[in-house]
Amino acid sequence: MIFLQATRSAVEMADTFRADGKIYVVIAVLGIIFVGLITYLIYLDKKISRLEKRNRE
Amino acid sequence: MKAWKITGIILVAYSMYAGLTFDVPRLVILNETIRNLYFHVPMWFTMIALLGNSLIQSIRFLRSGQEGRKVNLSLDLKAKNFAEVAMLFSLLGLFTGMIWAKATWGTYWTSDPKLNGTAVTLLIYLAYFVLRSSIEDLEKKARLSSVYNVFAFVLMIVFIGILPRMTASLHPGNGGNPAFSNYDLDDGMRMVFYPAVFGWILIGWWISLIRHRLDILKKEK
Repeated sequence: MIFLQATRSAVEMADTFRADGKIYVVIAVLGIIFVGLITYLIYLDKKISRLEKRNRE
Repeated sequence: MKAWKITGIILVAYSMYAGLTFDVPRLVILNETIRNLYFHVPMWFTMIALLGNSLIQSIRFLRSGQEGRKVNLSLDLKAKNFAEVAMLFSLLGLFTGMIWAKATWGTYWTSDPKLNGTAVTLLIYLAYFVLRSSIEDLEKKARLSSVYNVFAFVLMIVFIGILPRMTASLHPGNGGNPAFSNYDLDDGMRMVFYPAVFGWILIGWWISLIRHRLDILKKEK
């Protein structure tokens, strides 16, 4: 069991990267890209809804 | 804005945040790339869900002409649009998988049965689009491609879901070991993985519907 824990903590992970909090920079970047894409999707959805409404009239 | 669209956005946003910050198992070779599970694998789940709906729409189209009723061509169009967006997701899955493979298996492409099965699946659906564009008559096009779509879906399941499980594969869950067993996915990861899958399916569905509504508008013009 102790051996298992020893090997586990020996596995390299981005510990320092996460410890100083910088991972939030990456989340912010991803977030901006995601928000941008979703905003565009919503814009398209609205635009098509408007066209559909005009076509029905 | 429909509630299901908002649900999709929230689930994917949550999976991006949780997927980068929550604890993950420490495994050799994989290291932090284990987090790719939250982003790479949902692409495939989304592809299968969209192709599943494409199949349903094709079957609905084939049934719509029965008993003297008028055929509903828009059902076939919907099948095409869902298949089209599904192929976008399969390409995303393929390219993200190649990057992950380079880091963990040491090469972008191996003759892993799942990889080759995916390549064959892409060709099968490429043939579906080629078939569609090669027939002028709208009703004939819809009927032939709907029948082909049923075959294509079955072949996709065989090539991606069945054959890789019967031989040795580098992918987890193949070559005899069950996928997403306790060895592969711990409970903490499930709490991120399943919302990610569900969220991406909703977003894929949304894109497919937008694509479809555009086609319908063009047809009415």
